[in-house]
Amino acid sequence: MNAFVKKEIRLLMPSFLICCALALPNLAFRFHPDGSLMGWWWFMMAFVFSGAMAVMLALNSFGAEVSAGTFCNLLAQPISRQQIWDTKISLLAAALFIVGVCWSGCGIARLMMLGRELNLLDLFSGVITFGLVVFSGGLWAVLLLRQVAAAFWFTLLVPGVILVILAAFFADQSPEFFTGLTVSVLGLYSLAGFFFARWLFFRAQDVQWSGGTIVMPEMRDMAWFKSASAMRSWRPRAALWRKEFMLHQSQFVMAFVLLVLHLGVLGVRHFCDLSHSRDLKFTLEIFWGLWFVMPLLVGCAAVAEERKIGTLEGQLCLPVKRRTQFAIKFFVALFLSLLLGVAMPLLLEGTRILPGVPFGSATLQKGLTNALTSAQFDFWVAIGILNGYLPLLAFIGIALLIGGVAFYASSLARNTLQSLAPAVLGTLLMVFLLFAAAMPWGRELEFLWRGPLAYFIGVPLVLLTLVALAYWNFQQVKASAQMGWRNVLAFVLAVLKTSIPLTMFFIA
Amino acid sequence: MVFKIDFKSGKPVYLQLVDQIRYAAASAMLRTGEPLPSIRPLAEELRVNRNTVAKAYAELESQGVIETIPGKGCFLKENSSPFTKPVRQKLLLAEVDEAVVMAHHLQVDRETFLALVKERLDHFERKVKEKSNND
Amino acid sequence: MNNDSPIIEIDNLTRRYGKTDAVNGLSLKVQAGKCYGFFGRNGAGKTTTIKCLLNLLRPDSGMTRVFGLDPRKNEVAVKSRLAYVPDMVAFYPWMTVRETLEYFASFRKHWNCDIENDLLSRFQLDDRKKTTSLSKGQRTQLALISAICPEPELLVLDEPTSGLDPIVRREFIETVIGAYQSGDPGRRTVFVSTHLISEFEGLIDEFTIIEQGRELLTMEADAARERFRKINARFAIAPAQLALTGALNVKQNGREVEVLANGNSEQLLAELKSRAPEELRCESLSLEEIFVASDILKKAKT
Repeated sequence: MNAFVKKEIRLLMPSFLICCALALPNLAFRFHPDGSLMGWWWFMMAFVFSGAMAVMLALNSFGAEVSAGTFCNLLAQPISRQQIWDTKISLLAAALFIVGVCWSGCGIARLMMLGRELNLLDLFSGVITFGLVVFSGGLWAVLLLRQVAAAFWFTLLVPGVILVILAAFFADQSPEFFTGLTVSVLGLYSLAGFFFARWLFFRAQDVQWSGGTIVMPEMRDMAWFKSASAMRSWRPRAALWRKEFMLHQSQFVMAFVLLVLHLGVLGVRHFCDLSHSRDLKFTLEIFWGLWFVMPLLVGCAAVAEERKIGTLEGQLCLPVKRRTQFAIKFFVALFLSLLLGVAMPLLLEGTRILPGVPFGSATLQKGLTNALTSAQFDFWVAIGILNGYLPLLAFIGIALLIGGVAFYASSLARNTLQSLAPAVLGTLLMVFLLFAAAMPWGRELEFLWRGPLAYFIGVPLVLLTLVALAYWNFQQVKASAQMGWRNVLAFVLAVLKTSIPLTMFFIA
Repeated sequence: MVFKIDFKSGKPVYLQLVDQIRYAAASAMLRTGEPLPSIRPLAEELRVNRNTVAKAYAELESQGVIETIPGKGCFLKENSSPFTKPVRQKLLLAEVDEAVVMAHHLQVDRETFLALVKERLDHFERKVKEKSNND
Repeated sequence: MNNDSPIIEIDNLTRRYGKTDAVNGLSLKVQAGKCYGFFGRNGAGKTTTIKCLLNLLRPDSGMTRVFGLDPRKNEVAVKSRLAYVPDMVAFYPWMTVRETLEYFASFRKHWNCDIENDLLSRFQLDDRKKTTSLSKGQRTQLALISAICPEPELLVLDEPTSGLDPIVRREFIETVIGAYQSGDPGRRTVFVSTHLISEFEGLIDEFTIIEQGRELLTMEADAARERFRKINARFAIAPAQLALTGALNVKQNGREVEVLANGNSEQLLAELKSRAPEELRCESLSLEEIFVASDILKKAKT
């Protein structure tokens, strides 16, 4: 196996492995979530995150080159474009195929476990269509836009638009017809996208599109943004705030596009009769879940983008406290996570989407309270007032969690693309830990932890450690593996240092 | 006026400048009342540390060769005595030495060399006379 | 702070990268108003040293002081009095030239707009251009403008001219001399780290050559040029045994001999004269040539 192929495999490996790993939640999947938070969460895993990771896998093929700046280097090698294309395409196809097999395999296993009927045709057609769409989308979007974040969105949104348009016109047809139509149209789209990507690659020149960042048009009339040309005033914090918001421009543009699409979805839901196609209706109902990817992107861009542009070093040399810079960066990331991840979907859909509401609010609230009380959370119930706002808090919490974890992952990565996969995994891990801590432990382990204690001490501890580590990472101009190991070490030490004395204290 | 700094001469840069300005003054390349180039532009042109040029000018001022008129610049001093005869002769000596060595290398013998010098001197005087006749 | 205390003081600085010592026991002092050259080959430890001065890296051992303060403990106080031009300049891609300057200006209490306008027109930079459309030379120019306009007491330049065309390189030096130094000659200190020495030759007052993390030579520029000399001699017949004691290096090519001297040029000249050469020339080494000869120096030291 020559070096080029090895390199290609190495490029795809991380996201490939994560995709395969994300196939496993299928085993715990509950078909049409029954109202418990866990079920709803597994649903997100199985569909939203798996899907997102699959897109990233497809994006990585050319996207990693664009992000690392090796694209022009690649084109300059004495290797024919045909050969590059063939290698990348076949590897990507193989990877996606394996991921698809894993995912379906786990899905089938789960269905068999639940004893439900196996509608293999539906399952396979869905998986294959999605796979094709992602395959071609990842290719043409990156090659056209030369920028990963934008490509990510376009890979999802263009087929989304097609789906919505089809739903608008043909939803009243029979499900089989509709499914067949969707599959064939999306199949055609994938084919067209593939050839478009091929055409783009073969005529590619090393031209940067807007320098690798999506840039908003000049807003001339916003007096607030204008600064006096003659006098330069000393306003470091204002400059930092402004710079931080401008850093997330791409996300704003994408949010705008998502907004438009969401409005389209709302329109379809309102005006079209979807009673025939339960699946379609379901898909459109769940569309708002896409907004959760915004905190992910915002967090991932926060530090990693500056590293990629190269401005991080310059920032650290400015006469401003590093704490100040970090704090502003962190708060902007969290604020935008809330704005785009919570406020937008709530605005558009209303409170009906708060956890459990589409699936029966009473059931979920009960389910949630059950989950929490089963961990001896009488404390929470006792507070009472919290009960009513719990779903909203949970929603906010999830957005902040995604944004925060993505921010931490960003502080470790060299560029935004590199931080996306760890961010997704990290969120998974955090949620898993949160719920693991809430699970009722066996009698034997009772002496170690009482339920609430794990939360009261564990959660703040983990959060503080992560923030401190992110702050330390932020000051490293170059991301390295050594940095990653130091993080792991510091984290483990922090956990041990607090948990052991506490356990001792507890026993005593 | 063109100055040239030779980094291979082993002489401190500011001293080279001092010498060159004194030479310019002595050989009438720079006349009394003419302004010297300002420190900043000269430093930029020679790509030499500004303080070095300033040091050279300070040295010249302390030697009485130049004076600074505030607001106008540095000028050659009115009564700055040009080089004395022995000094002038010493300057010429350097050039003569070079010619002698060159002659040796080119294997031009003593008589031919002296004849050449005489011929060139006559030629030069003739030209100066012609010029003064025409004016 | 009295006038004698050094602007930069490094004492026995050590910093490791993995198993190698990037910097190993480096010491130097930079006085106010001087232009200090920091020369070394690629990978000698120049950038590491500068990063320790700016608190981008923490020294493993040893001390660094800038303006007499510890760059780690008094970070903002130190950084508000200096400006740094890195080797890889980077700007935010959505900003125009003017916006970039405004951005940097908002971190400084003092900003000289006249210098800014003067330099912009001198470099012919269109201030409405986006930073992504600037060439490498223009980016360096922009970085230089944003470093000079706050009129800091110390200018730290890391490989500023590498990769630039000769015209831009000259303009860079002229700008440092003109726009920066001339502002307040006694209090403008320049610390430049480079391996392109010939351009900075005239600018440097004092220099240190660093080799494999260690200081190889520290000297004043004029003194160095006077000390290090190259003697070229040509003999009628190729001399058999030239035992030139104390010479830094002797190179013989048939009848021609080249001798490098470190301070004892007179003695060596006398020795060579005694062999009756056809021709004998003696000239000083420029700073660049001293640097090139530094590996010879290194062997001489060990």
